[in-house]
Amino acid sequence: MKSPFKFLDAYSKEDKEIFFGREKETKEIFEKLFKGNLLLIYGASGTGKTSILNCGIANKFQESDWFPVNIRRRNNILESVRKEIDKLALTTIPPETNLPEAFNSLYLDFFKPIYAIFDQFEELFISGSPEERNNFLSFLADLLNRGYNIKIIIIIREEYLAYFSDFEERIPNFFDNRYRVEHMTPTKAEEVIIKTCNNFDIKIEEPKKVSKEIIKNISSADAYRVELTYLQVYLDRLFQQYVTHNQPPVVFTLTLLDEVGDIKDVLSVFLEEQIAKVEEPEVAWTILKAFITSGGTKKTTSIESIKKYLEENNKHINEDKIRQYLNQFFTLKIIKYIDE
Amino acid sequence: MTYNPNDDIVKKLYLAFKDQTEGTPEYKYWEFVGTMDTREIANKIIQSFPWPIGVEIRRLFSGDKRELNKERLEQALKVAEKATQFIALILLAQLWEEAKAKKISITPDFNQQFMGLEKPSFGIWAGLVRAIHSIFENQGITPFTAHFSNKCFSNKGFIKQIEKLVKIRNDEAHFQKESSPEEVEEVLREFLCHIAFLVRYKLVTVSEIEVYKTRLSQVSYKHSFRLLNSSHEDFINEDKDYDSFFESHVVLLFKDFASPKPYLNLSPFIIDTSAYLKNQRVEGIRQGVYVYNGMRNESFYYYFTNGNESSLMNALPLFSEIENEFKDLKKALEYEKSV
Repeated sequence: MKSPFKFLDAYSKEDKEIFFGREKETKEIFEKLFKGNLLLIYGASGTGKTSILNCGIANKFQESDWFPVNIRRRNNILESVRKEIDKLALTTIPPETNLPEAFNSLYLDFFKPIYAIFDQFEELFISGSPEERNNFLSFLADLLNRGYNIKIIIIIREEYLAYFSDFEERIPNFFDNRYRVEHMTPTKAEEVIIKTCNNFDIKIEEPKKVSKEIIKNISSADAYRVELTYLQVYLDRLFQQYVTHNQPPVVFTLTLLDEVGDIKDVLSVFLEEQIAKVEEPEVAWTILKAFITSGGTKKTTSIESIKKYLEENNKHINEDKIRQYLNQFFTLKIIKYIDE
Repeated sequence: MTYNPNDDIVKKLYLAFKDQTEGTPEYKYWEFVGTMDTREIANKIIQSFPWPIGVEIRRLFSGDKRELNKERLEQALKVAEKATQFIALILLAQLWEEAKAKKISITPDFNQQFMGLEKPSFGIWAGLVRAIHSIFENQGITPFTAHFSNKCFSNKGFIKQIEKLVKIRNDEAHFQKESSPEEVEEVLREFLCHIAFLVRYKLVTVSEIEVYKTRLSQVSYKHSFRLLNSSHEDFINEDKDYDSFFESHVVLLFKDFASPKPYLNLSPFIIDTSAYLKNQRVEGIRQGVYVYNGMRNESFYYYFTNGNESSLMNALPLFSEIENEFKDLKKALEYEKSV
């Protein structure tokens, strides 16, 4: 029986019926989108910024008024912009066309306001060179001056906000239109659990108590706040645990919660279980370390960077093998690909 | 290459725009536009219409409505309805001024259409256009949009196109007859060419007026305008000094933006809430252009041009001004009391 929960994926437009608890944020961000052609969305990791945009906001627009262009930095942010435009364009854009004009050509292909969404923008500060940042800034200033039907949305983890000081020098109103996504309150999150389960025909025994306990289990001891990514992973685990030992209909109970433990248990059990399925688990662990920053947070990386990391650490694994492992990680829901 | 019905509209409208601007400084601009690719010409056409019409044409041109299907037909009818509504409202704004100046008398036909203004429909807007035009024609009043008078009504072609479109709308709404998308496209093309005269007018919001006067200088009034001929809602702002002033917060239709008198005040029919709200947030009202769309229980409904929701304006700051204007309108256009 397949779990209906999102696990590590963000919500998308199609998830309208199961996206709960962010009505206020969606409404406020939607209004801000009409207050200028640049919007900065920031907040802590795990607050669901991407989901609010890709599901909440996407569903607020009528079809002819919303053309999202999702951009992740990958190896170079401007190269990624161009790649994304070329992927979506109907009219071939000559290679020498500058990026703002390429964007405008895309608009003229579809006549829908373009929303260029730069998600996980901190990647530019983590991995980009000063030159890459400067080039992006020049592009941004140029685009905003042209008066095209193109809006920019930058989504970033709030601890990286200070890195924008250069941006403000070149674009004085850079911070004028911004929105902070707060952690979901425990009460709201309880409501989300109840509504989501209800939507999937999952029963909750003593709904108030169980949902409160779930929130407790996914929150860190020092701060009683809700990490939305963890919530989906946790609900998924509860579901898997139930269906492994019982017949449907699925029921979430306090006993089931005891069996599963808290989020740390869930995450480590999940990772260990998945890695155990790989042929050489030790090699897998080595490759996975390339996805972690020196600060201990996750990062986006490429095969080239993984190779470099492994060489620097005297581990010699050829590219084909790295690819094989990455494909396995993807199948096991440990990593996500940005490119096809 | 796949057939794109927008291309036919663009070709016809482009020629109509050139025709409308012949003998004006804008003609050269349109000649230059003719050298661009069809997509660019389409964009210039959208930008040249007043925003409430331009935005609907932009939606019609949008990528997901290029097949001659039900969705496209719905949007084509919406373009026609919103454009007819806009024209009815500019005619009504002028009629109101003429009535206040005691230059006209109200007819029973108009009165009947005017009653429908409380709960308007495509048919009501069409009826208003016909009735007001008939008053102007019979009583020797030149419409503010004089090109409208000459080009559209000489052979009653425009009214004919509207009536065809209203019939299609009604047939669709009552599932009486399925219209052929090709036929609707053809009528729409004709209809849009009839309203191409709007390329000669500019729609603007008076955001702010500042008085400037020193001991030695004459008084002048700095007007901050938002130019509402645009393909998107980030309207361009422009400041201009005049030796007299316009009404505050209003949306105006100009014949010539450089020397803007005469002009037509479209308040309270078209409202740009950004002029009222500034940075204030009011629940249920967004920043942007709203168009009058009916009245129920003493409350005025407007549709938001940049979305599809209908809103009440009661919570808008200075709402009493809007309310008073509607009272004045009703008083000025009452059938019995007319001259």
